[in-house]
Amino acid sequence: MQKVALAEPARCKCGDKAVYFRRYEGQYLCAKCFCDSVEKRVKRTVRQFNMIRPGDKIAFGLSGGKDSSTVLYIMSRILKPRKDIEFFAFTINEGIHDYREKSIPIAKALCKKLGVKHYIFSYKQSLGKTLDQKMQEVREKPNIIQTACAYCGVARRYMLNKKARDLKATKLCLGHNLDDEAQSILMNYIRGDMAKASRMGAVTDYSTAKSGGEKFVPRIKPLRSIPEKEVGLYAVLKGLEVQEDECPYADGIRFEVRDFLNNLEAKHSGIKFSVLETFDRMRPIIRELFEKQKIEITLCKNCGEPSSQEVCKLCEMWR
Amino acid sequence: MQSLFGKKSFDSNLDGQSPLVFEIRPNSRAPYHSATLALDYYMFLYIICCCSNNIVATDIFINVNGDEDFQLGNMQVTVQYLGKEARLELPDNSPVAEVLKKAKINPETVIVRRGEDIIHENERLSDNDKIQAIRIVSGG
Repeated sequence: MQKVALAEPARCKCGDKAVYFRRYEGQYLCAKCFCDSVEKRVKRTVRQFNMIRPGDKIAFGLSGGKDSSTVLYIMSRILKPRKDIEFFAFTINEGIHDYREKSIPIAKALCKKLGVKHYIFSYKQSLGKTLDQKMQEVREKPNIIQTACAYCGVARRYMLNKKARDLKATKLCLGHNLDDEAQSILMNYIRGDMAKASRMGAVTDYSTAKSGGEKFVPRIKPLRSIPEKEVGLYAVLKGLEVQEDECPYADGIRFEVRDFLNNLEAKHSGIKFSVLETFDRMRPIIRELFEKQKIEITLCKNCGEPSSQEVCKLCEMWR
Repeated sequence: MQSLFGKKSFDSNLDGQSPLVFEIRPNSRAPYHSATLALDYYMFLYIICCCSNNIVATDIFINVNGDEDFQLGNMQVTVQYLGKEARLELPDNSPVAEVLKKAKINPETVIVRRGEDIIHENERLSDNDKIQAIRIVSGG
């Protein structure tokens, strides 16, 4: 049936057909203008927070999901022309059956396509067991924490930091997007964890620690001002192959906070930006508070990794 | 809303010619301020359509006071999400956002494809359109 539409489909400011309506700006964008705007915003974030300095060696934590693949894709285009900066990617294999096996070939293929050196490390190799094995063990002891994310989070942070440091990286670049940041801010608030809140930000470091802070590789998050939906759309429009499956262990308070924020955002667009911007304005005050009560970072008596207690969380939970 | 003039009565005037769908979409903002005037407007269109053998008026939208859609007829849209498929009935020319709302899918968590094209949430859909909502929120 032939159609006569008196109203034209929405157009981007350049005149091309729009593929995205950015509600928080009230703007229609075509594929090209959308991708350009995401890249511009990433560059602005990197500049604004001074994320990269001459001589840096940057380690990209690459899971093969949309966030880490997108940050590597965008940043490799920014960093390739820079002769004073080295970078590589590495993947942590947690040993989750039917999940991580799918994403490792994706991560490898992306690194090959971009000409980026890629390393793979596993929980099995470094901690002696996979996450699946650990959870099997945990289920047999009903009186201990049962959430996989609690075990995985501790192990992943440890591995990312240790492997980046072993490979002499000066920065660890992660694919955390606006949604991740807003969720973390609310979670720290809900849990009353102001010490963690004081370390959060575009560049996460332990400069508020009395000692031991140098054992942590500072983390940078160039996607922190890009909503998760836009990261996903960018990956699709750029034809990046990414893992789409959700982790089978996905559970815990983060997911409740994620749904809460998404429901709010659907009704009041711009909420996630407000959460982040408010936190960024409050951060210097929180940091100042923690400057006065500096935390002592000691070395774990078992593994020698930095810890705020005699035995680190990893040794407590995994060994 | 029930069609003021059914598709069938117009089809009978076609004489084998390819039919046209006459659309006035909400953002065309017809300058009418009450339902009564809107109905007058429908009658005016009816006369125009009757005078033309090759126009079929099946989908007419009029925006009254800029905030209400007067819609004629319903459409069916197929939504694919997380490997499942559902067929939904909505007012003609509903936007993607309405379809997602009816399917209870949060628009913040998906991007939408129609065929090979990515479409935005205000894109209006037609009868028998098939859309795919791709979940983009991470869980790992």
